[in-house]
Amino acid sequence: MNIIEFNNVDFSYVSEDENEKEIRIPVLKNLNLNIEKGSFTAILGHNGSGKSTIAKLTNGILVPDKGSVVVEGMSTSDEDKIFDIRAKVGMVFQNPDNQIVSSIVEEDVAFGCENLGIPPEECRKRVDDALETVGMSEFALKSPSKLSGGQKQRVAVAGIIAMKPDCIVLDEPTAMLDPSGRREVIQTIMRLNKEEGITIVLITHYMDEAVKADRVIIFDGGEIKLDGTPKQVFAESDKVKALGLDIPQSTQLVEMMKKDGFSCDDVILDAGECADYLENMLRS
Amino acid sequence: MSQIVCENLKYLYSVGTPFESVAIDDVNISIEKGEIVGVIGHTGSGKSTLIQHLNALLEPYSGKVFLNGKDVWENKSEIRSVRFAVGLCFQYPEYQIFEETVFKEISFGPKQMGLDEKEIEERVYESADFVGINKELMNKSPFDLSGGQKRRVAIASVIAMRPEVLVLDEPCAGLDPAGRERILSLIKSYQQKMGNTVILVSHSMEDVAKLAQKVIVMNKGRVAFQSSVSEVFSHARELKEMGLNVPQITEVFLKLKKRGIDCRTDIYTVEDAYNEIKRLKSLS
Repeated sequence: MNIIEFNNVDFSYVSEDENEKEIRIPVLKNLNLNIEKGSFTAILGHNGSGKSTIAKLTNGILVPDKGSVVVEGMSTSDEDKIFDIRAKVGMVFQNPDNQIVSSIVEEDVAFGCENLGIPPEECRKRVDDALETVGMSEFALKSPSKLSGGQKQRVAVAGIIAMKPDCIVLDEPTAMLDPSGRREVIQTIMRLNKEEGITIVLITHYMDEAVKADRVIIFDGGEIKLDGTPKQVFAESDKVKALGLDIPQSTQLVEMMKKDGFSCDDVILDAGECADYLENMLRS
Repeated sequence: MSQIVCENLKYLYSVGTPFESVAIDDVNISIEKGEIVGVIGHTGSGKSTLIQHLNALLEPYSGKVFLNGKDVWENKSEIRSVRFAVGLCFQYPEYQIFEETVFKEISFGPKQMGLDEKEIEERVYESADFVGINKELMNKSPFDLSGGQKRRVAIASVIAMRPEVLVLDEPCAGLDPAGRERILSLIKSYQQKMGNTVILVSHSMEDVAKLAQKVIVMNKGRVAFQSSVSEVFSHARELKEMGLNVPQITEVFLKLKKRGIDCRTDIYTVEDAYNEIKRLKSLS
């Protein structure tokens, strides 16, 4: 079952030229994309490929010029449904400092929940549960300004979880984080997907994050260029590179070996798989 | 003589308040002319505090900073010359863009140096050309440029001052792989052409491994390691404990070594790895 459907979506940004005449800059043209309930999808693409536009279309921050975006049967173009849609699809952005509104962690997490009109007792429980889920309970009464980037992003994720969404869309949530912050956030996302069954759409520039998804989609010029499991997508390494993206180092190495006549039936995606393959090859 | 030396550097934030905290302590580093030095460390490890001392934006609580053998705080009236000699490009520098045109933006620094118009123009075109900003863009508003272009304009505005030492704080954060590659090769050719020193703060171990000759690792406000790239990345376990990591390909060879394969572990790029595997294969 699909949780989000893009049906023949056109989208363009409106700008002005030198004579202050309105011009339209097309971003998406006739896009069809379905996100399955409970899946973990990674969206890749170079800057300006339309990734963030897609994120903002999923919960009605932007609405399509033509076609429709449908979330659990509700169209984002239907103004009466917009709050219901935003309760279903939560969004986490790149910069943790731009999305924290309160001076105490638990109040910040409660913000979205309270705005949904949830009774206080229920809110209290949801906030505690959400902080527990992201591993930030001990910071509930601390000031967000004293947290690290990774911790702030986990608080932002908790704020979304407290709204009990069915889907979370994350737009480069780790771009500003250090390696341990990135690990924390990605592990949290994976747990939400596997244990809570929340649908995840992760927009990222990091290939090592993308390989953890069930499905990888690569965008270029507002169109889907590659779509499949991580192994299927990264098997087309030349294509991926031509789209201005990276291949994980382990995958690159095995590709080079293959060109030299070494056989490998599988697409290697991470350090563990690569070490297994090389060990086998060297010992045989 | 080392170009930059920090001696027993210590800096406290919020001195004299209940929030007083040690940002960096006991920092002793030396940087030679013409080196590319990578600075790594988790968020809050003191990287940014350290680099702000290098061009005298922060005055040490105790300890000294020397530039070409001269204590930068010895004569406070000459502090401006230190800031011209050491050019600092902050994280997300495109947010600091403020001028009406690209030309004015890049010329701001040289103007402050009191250069004549001809010299300013020469430097503006030189540095714009260097970062790959077309002449046609010179009279456009910098706010109409793409993210990657803005970033390059911001870097050009620092380079236009022709600093002896160029300090870049996370110059690739938030860029896609192609944009990242472009900035990195730009830094490399800047150092090669001008013979100037470059200090690169980064969360990406792959980038540091590719570019730097020397790495300074900050941990909890102190220098944990200060050595060649191979020496520093041989401490994979300690780096992980500090919330950092080693390049994925290095991890592969550390794993192989652990499993009893007699391979080198100073492998940082896919090419290194490929050559090492060929060597091992030819032995067996």
